[in-house]
Amino acid sequence: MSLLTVGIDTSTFETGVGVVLPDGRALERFDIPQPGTRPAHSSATLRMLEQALSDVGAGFDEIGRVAVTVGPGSFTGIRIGLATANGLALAVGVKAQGASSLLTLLRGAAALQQPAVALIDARRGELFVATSTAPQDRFALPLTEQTEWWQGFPAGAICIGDGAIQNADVLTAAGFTVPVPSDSLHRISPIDVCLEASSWPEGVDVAPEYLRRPDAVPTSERGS
Amino acid sequence: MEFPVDLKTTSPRETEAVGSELAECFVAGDRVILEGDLGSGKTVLVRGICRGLGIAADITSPTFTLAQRYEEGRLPVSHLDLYRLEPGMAGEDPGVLEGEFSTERVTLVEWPERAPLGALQPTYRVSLQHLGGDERQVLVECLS
Repeated sequence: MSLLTVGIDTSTFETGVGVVLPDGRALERFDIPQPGTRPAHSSATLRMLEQALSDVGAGFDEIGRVAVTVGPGSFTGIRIGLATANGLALAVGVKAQGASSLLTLLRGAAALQQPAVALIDARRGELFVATSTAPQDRFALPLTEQTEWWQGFPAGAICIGDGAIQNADVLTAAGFTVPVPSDSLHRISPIDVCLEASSWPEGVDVAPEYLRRPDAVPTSERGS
Repeated sequence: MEFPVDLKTTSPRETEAVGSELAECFVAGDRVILEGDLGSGKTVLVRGICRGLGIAADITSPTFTLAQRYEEGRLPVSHLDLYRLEPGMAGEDPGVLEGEFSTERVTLVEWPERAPLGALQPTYRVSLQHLGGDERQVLVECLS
């Protein structure tokens, strides 16, 4: 029996699941919270995955590979995604494979003839950032500490992700391209998660990618 | 134990003993908020509570896991540390903590102001204050 790959993304407000069949056919499903509401990662992930599998006429027992975004992004979302992926992987006897949410976003823009910057809302006035020109240098960018925080982004880049949507006015004024909010480039594709995760080192456990340093400081290490 | 309890402890062992004694008062559904600076002894107190409930497992801080569960005692315990979340758990899925607030459990909550709005109706408040060295001021109030 040929086995299929499932992809899970819970690193932003949205919940995404995807199924990639051995013959290359693929589908993906999203739960997109209404403005002002909260993510539904914990209730939507498995429900949507079950539906997606049903839509391709498959069941959980046909899963041969599990891919999941490891962050950076939503603190609880990443935990829900990793726990779900690890549970599924354990049940089918494989190890889950991880993919950076930022690199998965960049993968969606890889076919474009211009550099790209992936920006994910990190809350607390920060963005998680990766550029297609230096994807290994992923970082948390505080917006309040410098006025021209986009300096260092490749010239003429297209900016994608929920962080780009939130800062579209500033980025556009600075000469960058920001697609309209409904453009799928802003969305982490669970199918791309499956592709991106294929480079995950074999046998390595999936673990969250935080980027931001812990902000708890032991009393003994605090300045007076 | 009569509330409020307001006493000074001089060692982690004494702080733990306060937790063990407090645990004898707990019933299923109790929600305990734990206040105190980093290093003030919250985890030590939680260890005492767990020992008082008959839980022998290692007690570790749930700062990165959000929640630790201990199931083998007189009452099941959820120990939450919500430090990494924003007030009211803004922007996050509150469903992830739903099970931790079950009325069948005792729920111990650090950084309670970051819990989902309405999820936390505390029955006890424990405040720990660092007095220097191993000394701690421990205040326990019954809120129900």
